Amino acid sequence: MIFLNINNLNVSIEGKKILDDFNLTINQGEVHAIMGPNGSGKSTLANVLAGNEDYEINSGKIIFKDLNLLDLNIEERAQKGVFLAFQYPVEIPGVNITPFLQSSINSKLKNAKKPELDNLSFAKLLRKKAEELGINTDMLKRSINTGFSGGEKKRYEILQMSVLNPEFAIFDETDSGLDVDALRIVTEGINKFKNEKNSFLIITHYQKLLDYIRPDHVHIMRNGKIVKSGDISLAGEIEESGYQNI
Amino acid sequence: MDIETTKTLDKYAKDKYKYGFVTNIDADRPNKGLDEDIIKFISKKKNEPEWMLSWRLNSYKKWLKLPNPQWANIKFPKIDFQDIYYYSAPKGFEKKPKDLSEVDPKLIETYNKLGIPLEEQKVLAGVAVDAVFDSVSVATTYKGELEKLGIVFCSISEAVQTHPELVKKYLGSVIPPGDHSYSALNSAVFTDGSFVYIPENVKCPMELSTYFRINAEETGQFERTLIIADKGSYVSYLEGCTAPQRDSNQLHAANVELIALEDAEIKYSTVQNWYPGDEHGKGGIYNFVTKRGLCKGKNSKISWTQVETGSAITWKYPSCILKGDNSIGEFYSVAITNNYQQADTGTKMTHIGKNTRSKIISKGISLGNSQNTYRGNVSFLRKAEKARNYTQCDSLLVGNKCGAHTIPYIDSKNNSAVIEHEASTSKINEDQLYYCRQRGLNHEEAVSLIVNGFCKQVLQELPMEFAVEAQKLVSISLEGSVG
Amino acid sequence: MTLEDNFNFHSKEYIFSNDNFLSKERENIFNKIKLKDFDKKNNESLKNISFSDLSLFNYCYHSTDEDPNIILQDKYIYKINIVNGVCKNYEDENIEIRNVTNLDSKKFADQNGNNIDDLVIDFNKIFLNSGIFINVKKNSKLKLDLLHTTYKNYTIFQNNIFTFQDNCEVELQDEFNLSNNTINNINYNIQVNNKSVVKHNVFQNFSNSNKLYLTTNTVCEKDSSFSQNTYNFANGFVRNFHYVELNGEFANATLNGCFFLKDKNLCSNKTHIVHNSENCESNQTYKGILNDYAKANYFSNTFVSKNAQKTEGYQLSKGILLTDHCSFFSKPELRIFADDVKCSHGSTIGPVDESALYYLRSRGINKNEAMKMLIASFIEDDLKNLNENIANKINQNLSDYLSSLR
Ligand SMILES: Nc1ncnc2c1ncn2[C@@H]1O[C@H](COP(=O)(O)OP(=O)(O)OP(=O)(O)O)[C@@H](O)[C@H]1O
Ligand SMILES: [Mg+2]
Repeated sequence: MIFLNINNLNVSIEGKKILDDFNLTINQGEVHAIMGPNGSGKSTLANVLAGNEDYEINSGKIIFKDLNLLDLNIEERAQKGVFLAFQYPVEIPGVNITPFLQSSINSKLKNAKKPELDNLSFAKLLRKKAEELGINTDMLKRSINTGFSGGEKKRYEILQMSVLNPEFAIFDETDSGLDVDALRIVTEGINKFKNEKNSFLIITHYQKLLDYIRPDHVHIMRNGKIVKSGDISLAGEIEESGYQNI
Repeated sequence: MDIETTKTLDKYAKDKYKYGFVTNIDADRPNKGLDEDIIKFISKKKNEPEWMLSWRLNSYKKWLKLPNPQWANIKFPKIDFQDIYYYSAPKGFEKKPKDLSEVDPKLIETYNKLGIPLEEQKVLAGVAVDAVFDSVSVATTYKGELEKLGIVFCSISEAVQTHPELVKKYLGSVIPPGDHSYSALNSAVFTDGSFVYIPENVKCPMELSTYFRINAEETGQFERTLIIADKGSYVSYLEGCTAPQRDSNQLHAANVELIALEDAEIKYSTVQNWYPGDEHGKGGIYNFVTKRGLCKGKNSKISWTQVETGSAITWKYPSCILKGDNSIGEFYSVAITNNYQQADTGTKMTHIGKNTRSKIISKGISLGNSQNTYRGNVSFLRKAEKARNYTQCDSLLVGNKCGAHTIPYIDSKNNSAVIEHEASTSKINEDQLYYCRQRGLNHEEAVSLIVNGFCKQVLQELPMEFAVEAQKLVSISLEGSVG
Repeated sequence: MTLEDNFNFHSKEYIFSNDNFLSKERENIFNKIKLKDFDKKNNESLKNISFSDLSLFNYCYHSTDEDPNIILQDKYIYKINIVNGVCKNYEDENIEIRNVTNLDSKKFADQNGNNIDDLVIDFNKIFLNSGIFINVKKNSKLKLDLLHTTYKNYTIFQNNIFTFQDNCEVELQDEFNLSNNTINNINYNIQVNNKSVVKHNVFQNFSNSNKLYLTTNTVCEKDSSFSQNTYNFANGFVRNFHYVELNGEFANATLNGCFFLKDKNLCSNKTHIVHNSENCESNQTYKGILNDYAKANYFSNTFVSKNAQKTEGYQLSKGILLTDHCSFFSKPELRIFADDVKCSHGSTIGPVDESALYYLRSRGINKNEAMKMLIASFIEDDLKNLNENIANKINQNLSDYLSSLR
């Protein structure tokens, strides 16, 4: 099975080209990290994988679990196991976290033709996951991201990931804006969740996160392309001397 | 707009009204049209005392002189008041049946179908229901229990017989018949409705509820509700309504008066789901309703909550007159319009007493070709020392064939009083939709979830028993089934 | 004198009395008013206006013998004196300024076409006795200072047509020097063409026997910008009604106003912005302080038509009441027919912020001073973008106003 293969992908927004003949292959169980200067197209890549309709796909192909990913809409991709932890999670006032996540997980179970979770068993699951991640269960009574601090929003994204159990999780700068404790919680969350079935694409500006997570591959992105790939040592180079020399 | 949203919208627009069935039952009704004879006929049917009849006739004289209100943002053909039946009762209703065994099983079946069982074994727990069918009250549940507490909960026709002193004292005291033409009309021809009296210091232990059903064709429904909460008492009252699907428009012009004496509290909730007309705007109810509460005593409180999803036209401004010092008025509203519906709804808060407070939360959602208007009036009179008002009205527009209008009137004559008003209009936030869909919800579910979230501040004010229903209704108004 | 007397006695004196079409229209409007064929009670244009002030006035008008002048203070600063509604005719490579003549009737007939339901404008149409015509030519960068002087007992019904051709940058300023017992019904039709930027500052201060009904009616074309600030310190009655239509894409309009009322002053304000095109932005902000027995109202309206997608429209109003006898009425309307919009309004009415007052007093400032500081802070932001000359004037007037407070 091809897990994820992005082939010669060209993407633009409002006529401006952002991803330029982009190629990337991720196998099951692998952790990849992408670094790159601001505006190089990292969030664009993440959004295109999640199916955001604002972007124009000019050409190219994305195969995910032998499916043509570009044929699926946003929720179908989510149901197939694509999860995007947003760089800027949106606030949705009045929509309570708990029933929202329950519909979310049930949409996935339904799609996999598995029995859906009832209120009670879902509440148990959610509570357990929240406790594991050290998230105060009071937060579960609140509306989605509403009034959350930057760090709380990120933590809440991790909680959703651990509840939804996606095969492919994309983290768009989930480490930005976190204090040390939160960073530890997030990385522990990811590490705990990591296994031979799940793959990750981690977008970050900092070596620190990568030191915790130990990705299998590190890519440097610039002007909509991967310009260099390597192992974790590449991240160290960047930390030291920036992107100029690449 | 993206294709998906368009698709979802089309689906909403084709949605069918599930309460649209007709009950085939013989009705007793006089000829169409309005004159003194009809009023005498109604009064006679109800076996009313002389003072009641002359009150009606006086109101009728006022009506003849009053023009219909013109200022609302609604359009409809001129109503021919002579082409309406003013009274319709299922045959055999000369006297209200003593118990259900005397009621035509077809009627009981109708209410069952509407989800309002009347039989003793099946009644809704914790809710006493007065069921009004066209012009008459069919049955009232839990009557016995309430009587033990001294609570009067009966049809207004009954109250005229059994509690004439209360009716005489309060009827028309909050909405004078000459207020405007619809109140005059209602005062002249009102047929039935509910009467509630809560004695001093009694907290009514269950929800009181009236369910209005229009069945007969070309019949106007003019119910009259009067709720009096005596000193220190509390009552929560809920009104629901439906009507069959018909091609012609039907008029519904109710009057509701609330009176809260010292330290009393009345909570009045409405889930209005009259037939809204079809997707081309044909048929549907004209809902021209006057609702007004008087916070007469110190520290009294009146709170209106409404979820308005039905009717071809809604013209309705549940209001509070805050006369007692420290009294509180609240208005929470969700109004959803779809297809060719028109809603012009809001509230009026008149601050007279010292330290009076009011709060207005209004959420409007317009879809299809509909027009949705919030109209609110907040005024502080000269003596309203330290009065406060907070108003928030938000509108959502889905599609660019509809309109959303916010028309507040704000008037202050007291310099220690504070008014704060906020309003916004926008479309459904695309980022929120994307977020929900990224988590696996489909487009329709995501819309319904976000809209319900948008309405949350209002829905959570409904009594528990109905909050869930209302939430479903909001979703149904948006789509085919609940997400 | 009654409306009818004025109409009949003076009908020959008005401009365009030779024009059949306009005479006919005048007659229609006159009959409408005479027969009271309008809703007086709910008519926004008459709010806080005594109808008899409007209809029973002593019509007194003749253009002056004095020659009003235009002074070029600097190469680009034009000081334009308008005496009893009349100015000097002038032209150079930047600008054309002239009085309206009977030959302009066609132009005026066109202007009369726009359908604003406003009785004060109706009166203006009937009794029109003056008008100024300004055409600012392409690419000009100018400052126009207009000083309106009206002699004792005079009545001005003026309709002005100002056109700003493409790519202009103009600062337009209006000031009023009114004698006693004057009525000034002044209407501007302002056309802001593509890429032009117009700033309009209006400064009002005159004694209480004068009345000013100022109406502007502005159309903005593509990429243009119109921003207006009115400052009302007048003791006499003022009606500020300002309408804008955004007709071209990426146009924006700002209508701001402040008023400072005392005694038994009245003032009526309205702003109304119509979005007819995509990607436009509008702002309406009015702030007022009322003392003694003053009374004011503010109507604002953002109207977004069906095809004006991507509109942003914001409104704000704030009223501070200083006594128990003043009153403020506000009606901020949103009328939205397009879905991709961001529109909002906020409105507050109340006393001076008690907690701020407390804070200042706890720092040793006496109550009266603290009050004045807070009132001054109320318009502080607005003063930042003004040129020094007018900012000084406003500060002077503001401190006069504040010193009159007890
Ligand atoms: N909606 C949009 N409209 C116009 N340009 C856009 C839009 N979204 C992204 N872009 C542009 O595309 C380019 C890539 O943006 P992207 O967000 O993918 O960068 P990034 O690598 O994630 O940057 P950062 O490290 O700052 O998060 C940027 O130049 C950005 O300005
Ligand atoms: Mg990014």
